[in-house]
Amino acid sequence: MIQFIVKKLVSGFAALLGVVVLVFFLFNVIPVDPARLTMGQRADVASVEAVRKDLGLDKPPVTRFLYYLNDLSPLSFYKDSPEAAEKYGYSKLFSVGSGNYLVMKTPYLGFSYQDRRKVSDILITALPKTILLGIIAITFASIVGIFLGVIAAIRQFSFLDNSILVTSILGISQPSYFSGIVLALIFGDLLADYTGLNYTGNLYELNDYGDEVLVLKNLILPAIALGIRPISIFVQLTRSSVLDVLSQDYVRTAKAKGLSYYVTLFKHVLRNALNPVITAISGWFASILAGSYFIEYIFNYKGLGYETIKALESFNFPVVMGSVLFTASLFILVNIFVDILYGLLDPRISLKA
Amino acid sequence: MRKITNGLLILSLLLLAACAGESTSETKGGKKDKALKEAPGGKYYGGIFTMNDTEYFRSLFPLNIGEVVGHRIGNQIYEGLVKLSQTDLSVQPAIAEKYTVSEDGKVYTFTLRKGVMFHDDPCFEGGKGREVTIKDIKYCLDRLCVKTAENKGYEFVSDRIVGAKEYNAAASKGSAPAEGVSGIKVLDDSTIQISLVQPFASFASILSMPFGYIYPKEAMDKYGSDMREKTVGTGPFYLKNLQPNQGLVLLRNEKYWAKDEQGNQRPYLDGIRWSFISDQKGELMAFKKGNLDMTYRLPLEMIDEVLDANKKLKPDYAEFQFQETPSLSIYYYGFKNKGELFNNKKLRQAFSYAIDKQKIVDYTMKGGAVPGHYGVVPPSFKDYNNDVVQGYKYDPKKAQQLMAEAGYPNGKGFPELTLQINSGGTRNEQIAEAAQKMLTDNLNIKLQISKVPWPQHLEATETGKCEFWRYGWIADYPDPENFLNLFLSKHVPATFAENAYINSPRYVNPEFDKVMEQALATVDKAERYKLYQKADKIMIDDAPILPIYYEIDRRLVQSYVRNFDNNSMEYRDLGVVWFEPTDAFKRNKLN
Repeated sequence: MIQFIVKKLVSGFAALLGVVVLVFFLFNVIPVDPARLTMGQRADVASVEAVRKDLGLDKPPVTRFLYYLNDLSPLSFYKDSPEAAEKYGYSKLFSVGSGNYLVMKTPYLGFSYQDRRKVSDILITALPKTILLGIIAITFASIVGIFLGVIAAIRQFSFLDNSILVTSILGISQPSYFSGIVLALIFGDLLADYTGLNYTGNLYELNDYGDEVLVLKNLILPAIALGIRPISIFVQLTRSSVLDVLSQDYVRTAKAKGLSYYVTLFKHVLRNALNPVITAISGWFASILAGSYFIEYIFNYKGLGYETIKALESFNFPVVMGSVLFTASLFILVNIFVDILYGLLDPRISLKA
Repeated sequence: MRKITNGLLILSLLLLAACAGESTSETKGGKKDKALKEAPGGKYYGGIFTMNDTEYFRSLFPLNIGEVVGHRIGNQIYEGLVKLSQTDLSVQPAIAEKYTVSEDGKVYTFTLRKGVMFHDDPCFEGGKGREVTIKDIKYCLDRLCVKTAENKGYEFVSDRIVGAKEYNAAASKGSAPAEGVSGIKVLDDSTIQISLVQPFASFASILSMPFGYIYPKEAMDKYGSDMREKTVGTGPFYLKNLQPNQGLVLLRNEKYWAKDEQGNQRPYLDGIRWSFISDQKGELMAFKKGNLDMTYRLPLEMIDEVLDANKKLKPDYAEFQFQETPSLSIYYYGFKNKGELFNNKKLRQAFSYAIDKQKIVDYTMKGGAVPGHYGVVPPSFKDYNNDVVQGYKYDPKKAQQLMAEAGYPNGKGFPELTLQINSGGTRNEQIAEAAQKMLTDNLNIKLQISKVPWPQHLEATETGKCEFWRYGWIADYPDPENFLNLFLSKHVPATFAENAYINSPRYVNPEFDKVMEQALATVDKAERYKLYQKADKIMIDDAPILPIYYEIDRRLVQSYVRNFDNNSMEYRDLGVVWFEPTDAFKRNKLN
């Protein structure tokens, strides 16, 4: 078990390193100078050089890569100074000579080229919004999906069943950014007087007096847009699973002993039928987080996806790298966790390394 | 399973409760507080002005403001010794009560206004803003003369203020003299004098730019590089709160120094709310719904929906105020004047005659521009006579004749040429395609279009890696000199290995330089403008660039907004604006 976890962690670490290498060198292949991008037409050589130095772009790529890894690693080497201590927030372990120390710290992701905010700050403000959006979308999708799936199953081959199936296939076939735009146009603009919803909007907004207020209604359209594809999947899964269970012997027994239809359905059928659906729901959560990149951009909802796309547009390397690394580590950790959980739950799976 | 359903139920109830909670707090915000209060002179106090920019600002630190959005926001928070008038862009005293220029145009003397207070801020003792002193002015102007990665204003003053270069050199060695820049002298508690190396008539306009804003040393000491979003100024509004990439709210500065003719304390507005919706259509929609009080720059693809053939508002938009003015900007194609191909003046002129700028303006720009028939100075300066600077009107016959004289009769022997444009926005492409068609049809040449990202585009044009490219210029300060300066030979380095920063066409003409030098030494404005026109004409006769158009800025403003004049720099001073309590105001603001 321990061995398994260690091995998983090591391979996860290798994957992360791969991500760092890939993103870093992709950004070095693009013939765009970020220093130039932050300056205007009036930039002269000296100013551009000053900005390059400030952003750490004056060194060759390999050196910068090593510096980046050093910044990223929890155990790293720095020349001790009050500025460095404040920048990285490290605690010194021991000296390695000439003012250099081996230190321990939280990974340092650098700062945004555009507005010089710390990348970690950007991620920390953006992440909860994305997670909340994901949770609401998946909750909405589960409720609606299971409900429609059950109806389709118990009215099999009826007009209702057919229309639910056709609609759900349409739902799977369209990408979420498409439904996002359509929803925003219909409910956020054309019908805005009736729905009271905004075309675009964020979770927290400033009111007229400069105070931050929570605007939960801005979650509605993005959550629906994000939930449409999973709904369709859940409908189909629930339907086939319920049909499968309905044809089993114990259901017939339950009916035979005179249980009412709905008691049978809810107490006996659904309990068993929902197992595969719940598995699918947990699996979809990760995809929802990924899908939120487009949705957040469309609705101007300032979560992780929005920040990343904005950063890509402006070749803002530290933010893109930070967000990609963060998402990658999240996926790796979740995968390890799920593997372990399967092993614990299902005795047939053994966690051998 | 039951637990899950219960959990979901609780979650949805919580959500409902939260939604309900929000709507009640909205009503609690107090609609009555939002009603306007009448003041003498038919003015009204109150109201929050809402506006949007499609880009987020980079920095609000005065020395670091290098783009329009930061400038627009900064103008409401900070002030310099002087500021511009929103009505005609003339230089007005601000923190300085008045200023005088010596007869030789080299010495500027500013008198400090009494009772100008900094905004309240924790950086001051007790959190209360103190009065601006002459030391603050000296402190800020000295800092302007030190070149750092953050200071975008240094280039504007280094060659101009006496002792600026020496001070910078000393400061970079860590040995800045205690008395500061030698050309910036404090005469007494309320007077400061700035000496220039040579007369420079637009010096006062330069001080109205963001890097001329005055800020306290205390804020610099406390916030350092955080000044990009922490502001302590003296302007009509202070920054209350800001959400990165999303929005900010400015509220009225109760201790602002300015009063109007009736003695009313300014500003009239309670505050300004800025949002950053990144698409222009979204902005227009929000404006139409009444969520924004103005929208600047109509998206080209929506113009037919807003304006009819006579450039009047269509019925759906008739209730709004429509303001338009030629902006202080030029959109042009540059030639590599020192290249082997375009060192040929007749060829450049042939190109200039071969493009129908009127057609580009009518069809691509939907009438939102003035065709590029003049020189580099746009037809937006009141006293500048562009008619004497005739450039190139469409004339295919003349173009073909000049092409033949240039050695390429009917395009024969002309090498394949590439027009390089920067990516971003479809407008550049549409115009390039139109120009491509006109050039190939009229001159019988082969022309490719290549599209590259902006930083790469700049690099290529400056190091002469392309022959023919798109470019544009927006004025930093309202003076024709800001445009003509682009063609001074001092901006042209000896080789292509060095970047030619603003004179990327690498235009060199000693005659032009001489007239410009003469103009800058002329204190009399009318005389000076005549010389500028002469220089402009000399330049455009050589055709080092091909002006396509001078854009017209268009904006829509809600009907109840008063005293919000537009100008050719989109320079906004919300400190003088008020709302009229009309029905439209009640509909948008009180519901």
